[in-house]
Amino acid sequence: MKVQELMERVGSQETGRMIAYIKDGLEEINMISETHVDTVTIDITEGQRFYKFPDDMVKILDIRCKNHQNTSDLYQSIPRSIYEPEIEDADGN
Amino acid sequence: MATKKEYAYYKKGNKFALIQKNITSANNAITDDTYGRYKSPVASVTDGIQLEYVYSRDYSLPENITTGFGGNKLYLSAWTVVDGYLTFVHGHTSTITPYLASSYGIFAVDEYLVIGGSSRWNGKHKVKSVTDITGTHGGIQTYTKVNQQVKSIIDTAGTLDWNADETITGVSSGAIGEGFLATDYIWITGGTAIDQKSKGLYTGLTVEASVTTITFTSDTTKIGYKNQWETVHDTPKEFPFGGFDADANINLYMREAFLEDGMYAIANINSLNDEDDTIDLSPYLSKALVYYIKARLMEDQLNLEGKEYFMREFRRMVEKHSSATSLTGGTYRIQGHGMTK
Repeated sequence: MKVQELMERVGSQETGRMIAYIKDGLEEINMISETHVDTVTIDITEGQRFYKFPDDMVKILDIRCKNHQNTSDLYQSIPRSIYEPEIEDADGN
Repeated sequence: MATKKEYAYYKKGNKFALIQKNITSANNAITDDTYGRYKSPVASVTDGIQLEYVYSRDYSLPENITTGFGGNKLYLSAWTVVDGYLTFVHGHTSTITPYLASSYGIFAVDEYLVIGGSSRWNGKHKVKSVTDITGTHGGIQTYTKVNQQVKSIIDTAGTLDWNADETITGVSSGAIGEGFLATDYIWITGGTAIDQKSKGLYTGLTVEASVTTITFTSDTTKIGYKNQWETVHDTPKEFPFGGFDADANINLYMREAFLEDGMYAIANINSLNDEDDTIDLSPYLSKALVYYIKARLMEDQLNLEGKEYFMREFRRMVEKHSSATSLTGGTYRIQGHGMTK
């Protein structure tokens, strides 16, 4: 569907406002039902605890790690820890 | 054979924490207080994390995506921050000509590009400026703000010499901030066109905070692609530093950079910004989107009853679409353990 057709259906002639709402709507749809899915790989660095989420992420589906509970270099889903571990890094970050 | 590991994660603000159970060696049980407990990862692993996520696409890719000379897809090797803005750069070896602004020409100022293959910057960005390797940043600067400090040496006094003995002399006092470590990646631009091939992405270069001379050593390495225009992705490789020619009275821009293997940029995308653009959704979800827009318009008029009605219709259609795309009527299989597997 083109933006023009959508504007006609809702009876609006304000293009800028409609495009802003369309972008909000696309995000809202993705929160409920995934329309676009991507996978990124990130290097694990010894001693580095925190890693950034991708800039365009709306929702996480899965985090997998190489060799988690296997010895065959397979990527397996890792569990979410309910509590933070008692051991913090020296820098506290 | 690889070692079996135990990971877990938790969320903290805009980041996630990866923790690993310290079971690296049974001998550690007596001497290591952290043995058997979760802590930060105990070993580095290349491509160790796979993060699957949902993103919202408010743009359309070009019909034909082409690599090679004149193509609209370009492999990048690193990113840095220039004046607070995200900037993508393309490393090269000492033997090939680096990117000129005209080579970056497909990435026009104020147009949009899409980044892929990055662990952090995937998605749409707007181009702010493009310069060649002798310019202030030698890459594709975007309007994306990055709230992150990077180490840098910016000397624009024009009195700095790039010498044949592989030193840069005459660095102004105060130009060097906290210096660079040998493990840092450094993106170097500036100077004149005399020795373009010397500039680019480096590692193994230590710069103390107090020096006025920067010395390249045998440990200094260039990072780049073997070919200027890649048709098939090739991991950026390390090349021995090839030395450089003399270049006098120049400016110098050295910035900390962050390597991203497999990152690429696609130009000529159609961003959703006018009435002729097509919304990248299935026809059914497009109708759901109409309900969403109507709900927002009702909300603007403070008609909350109308808003709730249209939002309910919106959610109903999205959920119907979601369940309609799952096959029903057949048998389901669940994977368990042992004999039920």
